[in-house]
Amino acid sequence: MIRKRKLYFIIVLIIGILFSLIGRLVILQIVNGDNFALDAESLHNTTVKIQPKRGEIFDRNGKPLALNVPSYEIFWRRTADFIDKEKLSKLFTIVGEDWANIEQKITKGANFIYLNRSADEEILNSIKNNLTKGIEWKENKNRIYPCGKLASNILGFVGTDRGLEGIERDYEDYLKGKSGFKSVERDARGNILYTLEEKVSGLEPGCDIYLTVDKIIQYIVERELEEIQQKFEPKAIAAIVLEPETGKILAMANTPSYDPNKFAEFPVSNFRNRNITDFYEPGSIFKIITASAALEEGIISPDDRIFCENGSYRVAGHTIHDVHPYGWISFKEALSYSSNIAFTKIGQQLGEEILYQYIRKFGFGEDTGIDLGGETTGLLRDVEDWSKLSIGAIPYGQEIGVTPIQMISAVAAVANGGVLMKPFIVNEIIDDKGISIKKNYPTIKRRVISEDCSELLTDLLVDVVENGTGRPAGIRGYTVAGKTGTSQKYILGEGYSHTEFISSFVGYAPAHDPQVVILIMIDEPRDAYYGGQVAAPSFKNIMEKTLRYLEIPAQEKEGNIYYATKKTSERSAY
Amino acid sequence: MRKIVKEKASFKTSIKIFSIIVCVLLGALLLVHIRVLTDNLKYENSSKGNIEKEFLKEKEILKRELESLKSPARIEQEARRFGMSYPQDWQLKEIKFIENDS
Repeated sequence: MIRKRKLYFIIVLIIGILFSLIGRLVILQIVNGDNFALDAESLHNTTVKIQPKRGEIFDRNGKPLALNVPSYEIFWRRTADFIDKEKLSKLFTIVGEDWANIEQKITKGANFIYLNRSADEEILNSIKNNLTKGIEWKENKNRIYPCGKLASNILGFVGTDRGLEGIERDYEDYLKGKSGFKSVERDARGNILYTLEEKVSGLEPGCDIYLTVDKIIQYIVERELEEIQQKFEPKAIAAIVLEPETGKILAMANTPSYDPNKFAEFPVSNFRNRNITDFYEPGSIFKIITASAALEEGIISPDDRIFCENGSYRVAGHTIHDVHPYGWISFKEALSYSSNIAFTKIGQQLGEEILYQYIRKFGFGEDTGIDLGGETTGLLRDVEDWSKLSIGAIPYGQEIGVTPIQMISAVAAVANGGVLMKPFIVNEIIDDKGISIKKNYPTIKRRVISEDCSELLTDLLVDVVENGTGRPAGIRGYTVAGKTGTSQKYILGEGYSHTEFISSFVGYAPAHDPQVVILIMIDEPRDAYYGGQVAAPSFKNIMEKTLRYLEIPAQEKEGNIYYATKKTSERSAY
Repeated sequence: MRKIVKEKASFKTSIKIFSIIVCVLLGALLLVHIRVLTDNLKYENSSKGNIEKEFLKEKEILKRELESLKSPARIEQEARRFGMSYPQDWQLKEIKFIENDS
């Protein structure tokens, strides 16, 4: 009986305990369930801010020009009154900081000091080996330009958090992406547990940008600019390589330049892309525009003869000179020998209005619309504001300011059969899923001259290279069309300088099926200054290497058969 | 006789209740075990995730190194070190390339 009672008692006790447990569970799960769930979630789950990956920049063949690599922001934060100065001094010395200076800051009460804002793995490891209280680090992405100076004036660079120059600045909205948040679980110690179902919200990695620039051609150009710099020590050089049929920029370089990996070591003036921001008096290369207008208007033909006044001609009280005195010469010879007097006379025959119209049609006095920031429109006065001398000076490239990009676009129009194309440098923008979100296509701005006129002018420009001032630009196996330019620099208050010049050359090849147009402008070269002496040989070097690289076959000429080597896959020999 | 039947019935009830308690306890143990296993898997996943991150980092560093090695300026420098140079005009020979129609 007692045993039975005991058994009942135990059973009742167990049932009672169970009921009280169930009651407690009801209170925990149902009555206060929501509150406890929220508390648990806040303790257990957390959100981590994720920085988006900055989009990368590639050349037209998908070769990277700007990449991201992991870097570390290492800093010291005051956490306790005791500071192990011995260890700290060692750490600051590792990162190359002056400990005396840092110690002074700490003594004065500084609570936070950076050791290094973009340290690599190696530096971080040496810091880890000498760790002391208060040292922390945060992972970042560092922008790296693997080819150093190459294309720096196009690419620009990134500051601490945004693009500051070039494509990096102009396409910031595409490149930067959007930061997001990730919900993660934490254990009791606060360690993050990565679960299979990571919830990421709002994260949008930056888009990749593919340029029209070709890394190899860009290198060919920049290498040549280095040679010019060493040889003639000019103040600045600007050069562009452009595809005339499409307006695609294959290379664009200038000096002085800089290395975007260490941009802080260079003066700000080096960051400028002079091809679009600076304008120059073009000099004789502008005769191409005057010649186009004259041929298109039918006021002259290649064999018409012009009297060149034996080298000296008065216009509006000023004397215009030729480098060499000429008497009667044909229009073809006038272009080949670059006679200023002949072109003044042609300009006078065209008249101010018509010449102005053609200059505008070729895109001068307006921006080209290139997809880069900071483009200037050059300097072209309205025809009403021209002086009496203007019609004598503008036809051979004085009293007008043009940017290199304007000049090459205009010459590309002559090369491609008379159509002015909008130049562009960004080919495509692709998001992180590989979807194209923007693609630039060749855009025709307008027809400026007829195809016949373009062909005729090309023949005349071939003559400039074969028999005229542009002979140093000739390339074995190819017909080259081009024009030299030498312009005196205008010094404010003094007039045209007799010691400071801009030497230039613009041309295209193969002349009757042009694949590339190249322009070089050299500002204040030393020792020599004629375009034919200074710019034409460099044009030849760039054009020759570019044609070989592009595997453009040489042409059959005067019975001698010139042919380029057969296409081969081993073309990146540069 | 009636008493024996009653005792048997109450014993059966006790056994049932005991079985239920054991089942609940076993169920609870199983739940805890599953929870522990899940947490272990999460730790494992977390460490694998960290390893993956390290590899990705390494990949980015190597990619950058590769591109620096492939930079045209470096290649030209190396080529010159080995005595190579651009061909001179007299070193060039043009050959006619005939497109094969077949």
